[in-house]
Amino acid sequence: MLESFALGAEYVFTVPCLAVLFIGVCVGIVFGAIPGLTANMAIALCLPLTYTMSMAMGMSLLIALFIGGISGGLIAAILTRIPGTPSSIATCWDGYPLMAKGQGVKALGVGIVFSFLGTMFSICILIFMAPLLADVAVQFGAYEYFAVAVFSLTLIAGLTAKSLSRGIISGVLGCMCATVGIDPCSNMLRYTFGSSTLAVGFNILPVLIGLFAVYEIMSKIEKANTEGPTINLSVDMKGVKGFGFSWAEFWGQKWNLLRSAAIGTTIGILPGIGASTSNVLAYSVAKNQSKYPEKFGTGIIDGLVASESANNASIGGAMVPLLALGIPGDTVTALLIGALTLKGISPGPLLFIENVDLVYSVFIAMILASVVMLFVEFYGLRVIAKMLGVPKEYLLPAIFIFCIVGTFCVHNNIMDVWAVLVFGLVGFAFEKLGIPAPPFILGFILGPLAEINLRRGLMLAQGDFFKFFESPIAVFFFVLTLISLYFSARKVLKK
Amino acid sequence: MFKHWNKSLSIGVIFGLLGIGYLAGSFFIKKTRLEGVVGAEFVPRVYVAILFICVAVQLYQGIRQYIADCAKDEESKPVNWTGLRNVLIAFVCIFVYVSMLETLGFLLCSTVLLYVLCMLMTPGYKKPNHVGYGVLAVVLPLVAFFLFKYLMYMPLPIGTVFGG
Repeated sequence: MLESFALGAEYVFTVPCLAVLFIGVCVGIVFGAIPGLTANMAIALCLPLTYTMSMAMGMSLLIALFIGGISGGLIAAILTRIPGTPSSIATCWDGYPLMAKGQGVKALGVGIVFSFLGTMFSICILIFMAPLLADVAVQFGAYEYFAVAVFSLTLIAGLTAKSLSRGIISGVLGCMCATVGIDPCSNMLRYTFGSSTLAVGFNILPVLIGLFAVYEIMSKIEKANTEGPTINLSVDMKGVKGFGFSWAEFWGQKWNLLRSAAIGTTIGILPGIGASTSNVLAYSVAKNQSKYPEKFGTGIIDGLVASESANNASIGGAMVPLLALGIPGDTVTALLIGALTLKGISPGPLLFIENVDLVYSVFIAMILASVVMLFVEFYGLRVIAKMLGVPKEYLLPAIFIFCIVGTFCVHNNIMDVWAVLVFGLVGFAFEKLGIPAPPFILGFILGPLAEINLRRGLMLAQGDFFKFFESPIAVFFFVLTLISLYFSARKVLKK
Repeated sequence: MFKHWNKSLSIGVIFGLLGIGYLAGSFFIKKTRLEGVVGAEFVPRVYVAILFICVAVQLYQGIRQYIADCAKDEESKPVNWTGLRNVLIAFVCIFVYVSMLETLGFLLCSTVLLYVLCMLMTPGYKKPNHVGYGVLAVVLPLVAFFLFKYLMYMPLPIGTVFGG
């Protein structure tokens, strides 16, 4: 293995490759930090640049963009309560309240360090266990995916603060919104009202921007006339050592880190789920497991650690099926496969035998990109802190325009911008009615996964639902579902 | 009657009606002719069933709270009507913005929207900085437009009235 590492290092440790890696991380962070722009977009834009590069350099650039893009989302989430990317939804829930308490440096420092550790955890898993895990992932069929989706949906209970029924309403509404468009199993149109633009359904980005960004702007507008002169939220760098948190605080999060990174890596390995789900799941699991769940959402580092370590751990996870099987788990890995194919390399089991130098150069590029990300974000803290000095009446409308631009550019379709407005109204109505928005997002992401796999499974089993219980993996997740439901019911009865 | 109206009742009524509409919509989904295949309308109906159960819980809780509030006869919290009016204005502005985006183009629409949003977001204790808002409203859309068009090759709407 050391020989393989040395071979990979030979390709990556060159001045042009390191420069490309650094630029990639910086660009990725910028794309991640601006709501509306995503890591996918950055990679898609930079893919043509890799045509003229060597394989190792091209992959280094794309991986740097991926890692920077996922991590950069935490900046907007903590500073403005608007998730920079779908993978930093849960970062808002404790990141912003922590900053509002005057602990902005701590919030950013925790986010940065645990993003790094989450990525490193998943890279270790990728290096040592990729072929083994890929074999397990291949065994996931319709029954198993359905069981995972149902289990994940039961975690909605953990995301509801006051009323379980309101949380379920929110989750079901998310599932319902995801049914708009062409049914992926039968190709029948659902809830399109004869509109061809609705046939493609709603994209996650406009939903997210509407629910979080538009709502944030509207709540500021609503309070503007009654707001008195308040102390402007700021990130004070004076007297701050290191990343702004103590060793005791760091050590106290070790189990949370390991559990969340494991969730992130597992979710990343399973094709089709990704970082946008893993951060929410890790957050709700951390909340359910916590001795003080009532403190979640008030600004504690536990929630931040769970979200950031999970979303970044999904990166290494997503690379497992890509390198070991040649299966793209999400849009980003599909683009990475595209880059490999353009160079005449077919990812899959033979990659570890025929192109071992490339595989290890990817591993080294991932490690280096994570380290560069840590340093760029650490030294960028001061610049990030200055952003908060900008008055909200300038900052939020400016962010909103970038949200609109980003949304429009995803499909070059005005329909997505309309969706921002609609989901903005939904978000505002939710706030007024006391309905939590996080279960909506979970339902929107997991609803289609559950539906497609339930129907596929029933087709395979010729309508016999009990066939789902013949799969040991599915049974394992069904048991977890029952345990989760039991604890949720106990929580409700206690109230 | 509306003096003691509460959130649970609102949720029950709004989402109950929404559920009925969604259920009705499921009857317009074409059915598959293949045997042993679950149709596209199956899962939406499962969702509606879950929604109706939760709506019933909310209505039950709402009615109980309504009766309790009537017995206490407490005054409800004052509503910030000015704030809500400003939110309504902002939503209308965004509605007009999206409607006009392809006709008037990104630059013109964004300039107007940015200025209005800056004005609406100005805290009550501050004087609006018209010059600052104007500069931001003009410069930011220009930067975004050229950045996306020439650096990222993502064209934004120019506006049909300007030949786009």
